[in-house]
Amino acid sequence: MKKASSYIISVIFTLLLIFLIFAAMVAGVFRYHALNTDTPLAIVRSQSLAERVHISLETTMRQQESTTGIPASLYADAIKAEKLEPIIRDTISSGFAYLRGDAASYTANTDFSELEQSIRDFFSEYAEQNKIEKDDKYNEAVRTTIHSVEQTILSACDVYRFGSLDDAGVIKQLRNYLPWAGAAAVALFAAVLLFVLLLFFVNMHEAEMGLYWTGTALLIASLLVLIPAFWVQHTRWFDRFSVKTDQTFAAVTGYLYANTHMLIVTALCGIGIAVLCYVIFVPVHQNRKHHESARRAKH
Amino acid sequence: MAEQTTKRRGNVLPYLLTPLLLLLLTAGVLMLCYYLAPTHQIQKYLNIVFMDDLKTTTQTAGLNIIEHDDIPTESKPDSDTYEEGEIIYPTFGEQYAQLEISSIDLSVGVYYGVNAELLERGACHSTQSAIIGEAGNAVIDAHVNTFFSDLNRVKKGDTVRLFTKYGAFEYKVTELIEFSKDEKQYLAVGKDTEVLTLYTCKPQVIGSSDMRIGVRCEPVKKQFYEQAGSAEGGTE
Repeated sequence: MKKASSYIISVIFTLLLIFLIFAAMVAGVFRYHALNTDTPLAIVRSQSLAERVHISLETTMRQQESTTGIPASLYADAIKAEKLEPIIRDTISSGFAYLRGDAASYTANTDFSELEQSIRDFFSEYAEQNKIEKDDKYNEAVRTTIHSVEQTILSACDVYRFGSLDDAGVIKQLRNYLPWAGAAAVALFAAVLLFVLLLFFVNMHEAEMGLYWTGTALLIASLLVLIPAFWVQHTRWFDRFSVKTDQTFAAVTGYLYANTHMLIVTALCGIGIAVLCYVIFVPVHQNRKHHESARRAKH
Repeated sequence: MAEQTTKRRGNVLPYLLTPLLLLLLTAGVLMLCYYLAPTHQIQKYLNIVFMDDLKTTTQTAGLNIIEHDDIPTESKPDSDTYEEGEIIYPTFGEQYAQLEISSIDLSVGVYYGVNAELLERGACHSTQSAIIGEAGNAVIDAHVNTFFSDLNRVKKGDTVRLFTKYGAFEYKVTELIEFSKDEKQYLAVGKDTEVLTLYTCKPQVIGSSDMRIGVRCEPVKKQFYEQAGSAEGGTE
């Protein structure tokens, strides 16, 4: 009777522990991997984002050439991949810091002085060749062109679309919750620890059963994380997003796959620990049973 | 000996079955949570940020451009058409109309959605505006250096025709407009009146222009090919 009641209590606690471990794994990966700036920064290189932004900007500038009359070659130096990469990295760093609540703005400070000078030189040369007066209208055209080009470059480098997210009010909403992600992860891990202790307490007469239930909870929670994550990774599920901008597609899907990969790694670690629990549990439990039956035989 | 083996199996079975049952139970609960969770909210944000849907069918990554060269560009007799009818809603990147302005010899395909790739192929219909044939402001734009290079030559009273798979629509130009790129008054969706707005960048000798020029048109004739509710599928 006592054994049956401890079994039922253990099953209930294990059930709760499964959900807690599942939530703790997801929260942990979210806080310490997804929100960690190093994760999206690693994607800049792995997905060649600077090259993709360069190609996109080159196309845009070429398209605008016939509309604006400004040769695309004027921007060639400013939109070189090696010059774009620091802008992309700065935008990502500021954006993620802003999301976490660590920064007041998501915009990165970018120095466009070289580009501005080359546009001014081009306009000045053009005005002199065509005898155009450098009046207010001229200055306005220069100003508009500089602003437009800078915005085009910054927008292309904003690969995670922090601008669009902010315009849509998404960042504001996220900033209300994301700063609590760390606390939530810690609270979940503490709850996991508490339930593990409770399981050992319930099975205090057979301490190895605590290992069995903990291993079971860990194994199931890990499988619940591993199976969908593995399926997502294996089927390249995020490739079904049809994001129009190449660099955004690469950045977003690369980021999601990096986090899926981390979930898989975490789940595999969980399975490893669960197997370890079972490996310890089986001989200890067999030994106990052997001793018990030997004692019973003596009596 | 056989009795001992059966007993051992009986002892081991609960240890093996319990995790399996717990796995099934928790997987069921999580799947239920997934179906009950407001995932459409995530889809809404994806639409806002990426101007796109979360595709559920296998498709190639990137823009899915669909070109139609079978859009009928001749008006049908009135007896074969309806004044109100079924609209077939396009998907992003789909060429769903043919725009004709005879006064400037313009005939160009209209794609649903606006981006650089589509602007290279034709005129683009803003996804944030009304669909051709429905109430509201339908907004179409194109590059000034390509398809809409002569838009500034269109005059009041000129006829604009739009042919779609679901109907032919004739408009009359009522207003020539000029506005700053930040002004949204001519691009607002509107709800009551049916308007067609065509616009492009204001031509400028050098540099980017912040000004836009265009025309506003009112409907003169609507010819739907199917009555509302009669088409099978294809509508949303």
